[in-house]
Amino acid sequence: MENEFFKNRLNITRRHFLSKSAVGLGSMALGSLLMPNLFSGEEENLAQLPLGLPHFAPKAKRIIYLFQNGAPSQLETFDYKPLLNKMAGEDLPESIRGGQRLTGMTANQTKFPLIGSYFGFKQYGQSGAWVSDMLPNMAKIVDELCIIKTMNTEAINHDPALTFIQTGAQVGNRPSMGAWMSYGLGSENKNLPAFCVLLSRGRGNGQGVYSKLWTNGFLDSTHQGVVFSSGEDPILYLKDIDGIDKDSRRRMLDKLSELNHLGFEASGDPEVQAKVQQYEMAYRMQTAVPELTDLSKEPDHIVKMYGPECLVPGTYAANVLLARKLSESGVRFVQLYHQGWDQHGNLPNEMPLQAEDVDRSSAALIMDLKQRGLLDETLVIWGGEFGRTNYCQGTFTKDNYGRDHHPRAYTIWMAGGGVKPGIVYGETDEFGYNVIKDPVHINDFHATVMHLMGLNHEQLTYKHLGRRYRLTDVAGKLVPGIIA
Amino acid sequence: MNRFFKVCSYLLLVGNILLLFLFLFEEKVRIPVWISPFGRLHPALLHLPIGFSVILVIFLFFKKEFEPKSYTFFVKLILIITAVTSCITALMGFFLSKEGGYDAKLLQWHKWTGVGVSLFTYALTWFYEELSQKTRAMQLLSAGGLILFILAGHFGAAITHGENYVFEAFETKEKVPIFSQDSSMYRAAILPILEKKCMSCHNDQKVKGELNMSSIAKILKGGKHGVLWKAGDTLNSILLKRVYLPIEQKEHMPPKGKEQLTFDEIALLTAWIKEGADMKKAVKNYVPLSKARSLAFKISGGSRSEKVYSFSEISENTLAEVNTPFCVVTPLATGSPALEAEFFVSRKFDRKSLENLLKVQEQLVELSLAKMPVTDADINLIAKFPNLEKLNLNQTDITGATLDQLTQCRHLSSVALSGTKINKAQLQKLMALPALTEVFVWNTSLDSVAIQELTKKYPKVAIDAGYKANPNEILKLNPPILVNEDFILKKNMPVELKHTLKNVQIHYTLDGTDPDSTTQTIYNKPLAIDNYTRIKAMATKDGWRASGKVDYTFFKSSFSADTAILLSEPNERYKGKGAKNLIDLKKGPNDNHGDAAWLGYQNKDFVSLIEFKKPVPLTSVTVAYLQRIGSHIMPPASVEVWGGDNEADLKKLQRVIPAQPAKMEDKANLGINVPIQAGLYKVLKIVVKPLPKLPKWHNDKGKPGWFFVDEILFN
Repeated sequence: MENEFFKNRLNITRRHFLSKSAVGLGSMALGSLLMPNLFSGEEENLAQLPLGLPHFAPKAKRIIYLFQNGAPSQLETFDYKPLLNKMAGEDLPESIRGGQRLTGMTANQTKFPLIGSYFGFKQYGQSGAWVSDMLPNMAKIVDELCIIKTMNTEAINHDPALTFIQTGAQVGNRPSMGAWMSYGLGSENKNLPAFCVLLSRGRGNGQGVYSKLWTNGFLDSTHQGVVFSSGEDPILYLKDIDGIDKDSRRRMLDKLSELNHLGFEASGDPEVQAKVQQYEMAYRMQTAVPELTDLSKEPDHIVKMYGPECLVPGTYAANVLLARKLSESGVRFVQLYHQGWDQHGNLPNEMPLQAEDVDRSSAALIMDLKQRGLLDETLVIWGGEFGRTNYCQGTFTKDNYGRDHHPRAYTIWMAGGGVKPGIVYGETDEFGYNVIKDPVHINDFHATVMHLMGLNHEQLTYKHLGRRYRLTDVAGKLVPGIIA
Repeated sequence: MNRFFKVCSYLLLVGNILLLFLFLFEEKVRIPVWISPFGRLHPALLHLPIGFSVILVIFLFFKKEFEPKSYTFFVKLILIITAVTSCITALMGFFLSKEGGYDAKLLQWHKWTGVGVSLFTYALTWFYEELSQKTRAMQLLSAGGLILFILAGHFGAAITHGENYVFEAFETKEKVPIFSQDSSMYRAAILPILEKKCMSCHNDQKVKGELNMSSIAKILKGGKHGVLWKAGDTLNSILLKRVYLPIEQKEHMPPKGKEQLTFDEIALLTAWIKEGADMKKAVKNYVPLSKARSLAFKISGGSRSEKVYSFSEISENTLAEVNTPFCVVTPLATGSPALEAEFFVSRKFDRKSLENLLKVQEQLVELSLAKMPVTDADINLIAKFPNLEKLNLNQTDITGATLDQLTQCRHLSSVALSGTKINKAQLQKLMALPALTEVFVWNTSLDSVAIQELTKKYPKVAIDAGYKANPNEILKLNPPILVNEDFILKKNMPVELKHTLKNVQIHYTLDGTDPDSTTQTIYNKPLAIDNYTRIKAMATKDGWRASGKVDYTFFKSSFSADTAILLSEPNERYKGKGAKNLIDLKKGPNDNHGDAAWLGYQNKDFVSLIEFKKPVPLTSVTVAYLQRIGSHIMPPASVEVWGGDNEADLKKLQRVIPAQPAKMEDKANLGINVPIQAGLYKVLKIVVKPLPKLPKWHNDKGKPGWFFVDEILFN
């Protein structure tokens, strides 16, 4: 029974293998046998290439996505625009805005007064990248980072933008990135979910997170993101209840699975199989999870590295540390969300609090993966769903202002797993409003991340409602400039 | 014999149509595994058609020596055999080509000419009858066919042996400088880049842009636009400027269409110029932290791209056998024979599970045993994997005593030993491994001196010592954490605080003042609280900055009332669940006054009657209220408590006028404690007046305030 999960994966490849190895000789007939899809007119319902393995040698095996929910301002973090400080209070020229549609929050503003960063910037590292004074620890490891200043999206509000960057479409119910990775690459450690989600909340103005961001969409529900609890026990209800020992639990699961298989034979619903697998997974997690939360093998100075909050369950720092342990234990995709980056107002007071939450631990994660020899096989991504406007939302004063949503250009960084370290990719104009060189669209970002994981984004597909879907749908170009 | 010819001609028809067909739909063809041996026979079989065609041509020239009948027969026989072997060879070649890994351009030519040969010889068998009479035409055609053969053969040979195979011996071989510590950085690392990527246009014969790079002197002279670089000045070095230009621009170097510099090569050129562009400085004289130095090592050591393995793929059955839920073995990628294995869940690990992997002894190239209870005795097992490249032993139980056994793994290039008990001497035994490029020794006994020594001795190996806490860096402590989940304390329930770090002092106050590191009340055991209390706390620890403050409000409930009724109705919008809210011991949230736990009053007194079944000895009554100044929710103007044995006989016990905030304050759950004369009470009446007018400093001064209540507590 413990091999169930694995065998199933082999079944898929074996079926695939058999379909390829048609036997026989004879001109056209033989040839057509070598091309299973040429005359059949019907596509296989499987992806083009075998599932569960990368299509080609991957640069990264795992992803840790440090999602900064609410959209941190690029102008106060990595995209240094001194012109905005010089022109503070002046109106954004219409030639720069170029008819950009605005959110309901600033669409009625009569003036768009430019405002520069309240925080200072300095250049760091060999790459000389500009980093805000708010992020001193990220600045220290800037030569490990691949900073992309030209991310751009189509959505101007949180929900569609979040949904877009997480699932490749602005409407809901498409599988999220993590679910696609789980579908395409399978899980590394059979005792933990392939896709885990960790949530935390900062002190700034927050935006919601919801399960459609980690949904399996139309994929099998085993690919859904598993949300960990923010309490002392990251996974609830894993302990056997009083009076039930391991053996009776095993017997119960075996019987239950027999019943479920009867159900499956009757209905043929693959979700029944998924359910059986999930029970098995939960059973194995009972052994695997206690090791995860065990800090006894970590040295004391890990606390200084990640910051003291890493021991307080539910904080960003604790989630980052847990993410490292999950990733180290073979979890394919760990998705963090840190809420509180939506600074429509009071930005100079709120952003430092948010930065304090994430700066030290995010940088520590990179260093920690590196010293364990894992950075070259783990891709770390840090960033939000869109950027923020270069003009002030609401009342404008020199030392207090806010910024609205901006889709045309924003900054994220990646590190490790096959991206070029120590580069700044792409350029924005002096106003920080438009991309002038090397744009990276959300679809391009997805295509590139998949490539780093050894997947061809055009070939990982799933047929649903009469057509095949991809994470990048019908778009997406690789960004070779960031691939090492 | 006729039967033989007949079979052959059918075979030829079928074979050639198949060939054409495959050729046309080349992109869609997938070759099943069982065909590949046939494909691989191509290089052997191809000699047959070549041989037969040569015999055929020779035959044609000796027509006179034969009887006409036997001549015709022999030519036909040989022609047919040539055609059949050509066709089969071409088919096999096609299968072989699908395995990939060949120069695409050469392969394309070879395919076209190969198919050409097959079709050409096949056509000859068709027209043989007509042609056999015309000796001249036959000779010409055969000669033409032979040329086709030679071309096809040439391209094929170029694919396998390289383009210059035959004349290689005549070529003067460029001396590729061997990377060594003693040679100059320029010779060891910079010159090879220039030779490979620049010199095809900038040499003695071809001097584009008046730049000749064939000698150091000529390079230093520069070209039309001046000298190539300014030592130490990366921004004003023409060479770098050209390299960094976007590829679309005309001035970009190497020009579009030529082989471009790789990212590492660009980085190396930049670093080398930045570090002084010294033409003579030896590699060993660069400081260990030099970027140019580390890049030079990286480029010279790891220039190969995707690795090709010579060992064979294992069967799916074997793969299934070695896989368990706690040991996952997978190919590196689709179609790769190389495997990686990872172990999970330390409780399930034993030596046997590692032994099990010997079934894939040859194929295993990556092995992760991180956090598994691997001991020194297990190292000899690991050493049995001859092709191991990457080994992760982080946080295992090894002491390093048997580490030298790993020197058997000649391909080992990356070893992670972080968090183990190894020492310098043991590590040193590994360092000489020929393929080794990186070791990870964070959190081991190796100090910076030891690492420096090893780096000096083995410069090709990057030793990562990882993070070391900086004793001078003072971090801010995180605040104390409240253990209690409920803010209403029943009976003897204490207030409990904790901190996640050891040796932390928690300073606290109970009087509403802000604590700091000088506050003398230090938390050392759970606090017994006998009344409504606001606790403020912060933490200090040697070597850390003091934490921020936490602020919690606790309500004490010694006696639960049995019934509550409201004598005045709350506001329509904030009726909550009515009177029972007041005695259900459930607090309302401070960020949502619309919650059903709250009762709201404005312009109207709150009057409630509380009853106990039996008289209880009380000394105080606490009214729990909400403060959200922005939403006009204020402390009440006054609180009156009446008490007695029954409703008709109540005495006014106490009247309290709470202090009003003097400025904007944060939202909070607060309480007013009303001390009453100690005694036994059965019935109590509470009368609360909301604030009639918001204070002068408020944005909406003068408007009536709200009073929100969720609990009334008795002690």
